[in-house]
Amino acid sequence: MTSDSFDYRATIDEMMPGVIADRRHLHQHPELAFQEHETAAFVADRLASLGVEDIRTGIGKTGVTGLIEGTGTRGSGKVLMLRADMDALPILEENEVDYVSQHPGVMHACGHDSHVSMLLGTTKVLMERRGDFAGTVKVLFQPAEEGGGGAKAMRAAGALEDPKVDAAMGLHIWQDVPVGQVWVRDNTAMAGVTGFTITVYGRGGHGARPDITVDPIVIGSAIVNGLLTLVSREKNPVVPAVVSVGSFQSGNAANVIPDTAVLKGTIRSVTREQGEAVEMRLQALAEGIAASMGARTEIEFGGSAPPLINDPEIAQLVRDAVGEGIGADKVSQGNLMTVSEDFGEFLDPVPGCFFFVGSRNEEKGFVYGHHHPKFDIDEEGMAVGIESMSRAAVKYLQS
Amino acid sequence: MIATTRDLKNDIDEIMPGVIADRRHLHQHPELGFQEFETAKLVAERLESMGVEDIRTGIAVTGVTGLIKGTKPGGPAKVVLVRADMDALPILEENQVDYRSQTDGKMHACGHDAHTSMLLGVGRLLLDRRDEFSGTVKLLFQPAEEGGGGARVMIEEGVLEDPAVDLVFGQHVAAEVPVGKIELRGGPCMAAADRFDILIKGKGGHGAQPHLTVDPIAVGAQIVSALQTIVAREVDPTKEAVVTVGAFLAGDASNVIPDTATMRGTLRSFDPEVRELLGRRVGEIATGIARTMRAEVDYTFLPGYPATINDPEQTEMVREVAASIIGEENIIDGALQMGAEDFSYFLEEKPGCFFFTGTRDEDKGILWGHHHPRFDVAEDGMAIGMEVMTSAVLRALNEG
Repeated sequence: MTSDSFDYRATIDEMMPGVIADRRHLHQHPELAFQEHETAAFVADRLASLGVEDIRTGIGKTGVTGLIEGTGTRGSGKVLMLRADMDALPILEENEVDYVSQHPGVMHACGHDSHVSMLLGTTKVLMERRGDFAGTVKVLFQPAEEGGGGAKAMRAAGALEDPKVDAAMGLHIWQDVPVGQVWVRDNTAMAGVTGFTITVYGRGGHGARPDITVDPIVIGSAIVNGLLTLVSREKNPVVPAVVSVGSFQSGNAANVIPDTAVLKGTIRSVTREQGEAVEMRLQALAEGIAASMGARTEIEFGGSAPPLINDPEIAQLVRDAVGEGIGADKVSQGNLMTVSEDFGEFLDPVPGCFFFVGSRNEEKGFVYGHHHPKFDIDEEGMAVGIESMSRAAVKYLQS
Repeated sequence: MIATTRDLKNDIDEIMPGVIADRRHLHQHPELGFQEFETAKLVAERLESMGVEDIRTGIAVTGVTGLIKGTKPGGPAKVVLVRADMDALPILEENQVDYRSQTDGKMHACGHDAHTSMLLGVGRLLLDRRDEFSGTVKLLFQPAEEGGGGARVMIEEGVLEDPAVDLVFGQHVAAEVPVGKIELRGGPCMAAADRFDILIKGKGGHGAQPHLTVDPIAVGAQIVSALQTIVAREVDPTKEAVVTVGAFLAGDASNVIPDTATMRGTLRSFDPEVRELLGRRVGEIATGIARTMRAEVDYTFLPGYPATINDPEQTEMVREVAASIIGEENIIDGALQMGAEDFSYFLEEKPGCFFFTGTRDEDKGILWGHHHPRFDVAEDGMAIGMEVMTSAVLRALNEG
């Protein structure tokens, strides 16, 4: 017998209008990190009406979990967590669609609306299939993926316990991948991230008398130049890393040397060890450059997430399951990415797999990247996502 | 009869209460550049009531001039211009004096209130001494010294003509100079001040994907570092120059590389060739570095005030006059100052002298610098400033 004879496609096709309606509803009502109150209430309602058990809300502020208890005999009774993130971004949407954001300045520009509706769809499929597996699916809807530390907050609130999670899976709708295709990567899939803020304390004064000041703009510029050498000179060339300064704010008037400069940036690294090494060196370099030029610095790190590292065995299982749905030729390893995802927080203590479901469709104009004001997805990709996640979950629980 | 120095001191003692009252009134009612309407009105009324002739108002919006004609026969008949500036600054005063600014956010934080009241005093002293000189004193009250270039506008509107001016004098109260002292310097004394704006146009994107962007912050940092080589490597080491980037503004989020970065700065120099070099090379370096890093630059050079260059002879004359009043030991040979002053426009056209009158008094807590919210003036210094200016003008008018 084939591993799974259930007709996923027919089941999913039937429910897709509802999935799309949910996604568009969420797209119209985006909420920022840790403020996903309406989204969470919507999720809890849907889970209750689907018959999901042990629904818990307010975990990590606005997170929601629920359990699907298998009633079958296949499998060893493991607990598999499936996760979607719920938060939107502070971006003014520029799409002219009838489901455009109704909250100007807040937008689902990363596809988390589709993640929520896909996981609700997957929940529906798995509720129908609970007779075919033993064990438990814990569905988890997370706040604040976008730099807010939502995964960390849910972990701290015990989301991986009671029942104790054996493995975790998640997906991201992905605009770099053509619709109909899926990337499932062994080992590291996405870089870890640490944000930093460097405040240079110089001594301000008149722009015409630099000799009696300590100019934080000159020192901040030297630090920016110095930070670039962390990548070009100090890290192992075969282990990817990024150091970017995204914000340099200092002064206002042309003829006044300010007291301080504030540099904000981000470090990305595909290994935890290298990320920590870059952090240490960034601190030493910024402090050293500033000290050598007569200034003092304060450096804060924050908004960190570890590299997202898939378990190769579970990744292989997911790859097989996805291939059974869309054909093995549509599944690939995909690219190692320096963008980050806090799902790595869950994969730190628990093995699992995070994969990427294509949503790009040039013919339909779905070409804008994540976080772009014109970001939108080919919703066909959501059917692939639901099928892939459902198949992977069943396959894992039956193993 | 010829008035003696003693007479001048007595007269100043007599008018000082009124001069101080005027200064405090102006301090309470500060007006920004080209908006000095009430100040100009007060000036014109005072000139009128003291008998100054040919009072003209509304020059460069709010500027005022008036003439005092000497009655002494047979002299050289020169025309000497004496200037005060009238504008205040957009600063919230933090002094708790009973004459503090009554307009929040505007303040006479550079002493122009003192300049105006001192020149009214000088006018009155010279009117009382018109029999001591032939020729003409032109009193000039100027708007918008603080960046507006009021001097230039007044010159464009003809204040150096009708009658044609031969010599120009001005003074500035100085918070760095102790009360009782005068500081001055022949030749170049205050810098030329120009501004520049640099807009770096890169290509924004995700902070984790720098290879898909052109990072304007990385470009800007290289430009700031490279600009240091202008003074260190390109300017004649014996000549003075300053290149300062006063603002570097780019981006907001830590993980987003912005599209653009904005830099603003100031350039200071004394030598016209150095001035030209600074303005040109900042643009060339910024544009060149941006191009090598795949970005583009919009460079804007905003010319400001030229260097203030005192006439050596007139400066020596003022120095002698001042030494005779306050003693040689109280004359400070000034260093080059990197600050700028639009009296330079008058000195570009006519010989003359701009000097600094001490108004610092640490015992009274008057020690805050110009443009500081707690700036104040030791008013005793105003008496000395009036005495030196009045004496210098009389001497200038009487010298061949």
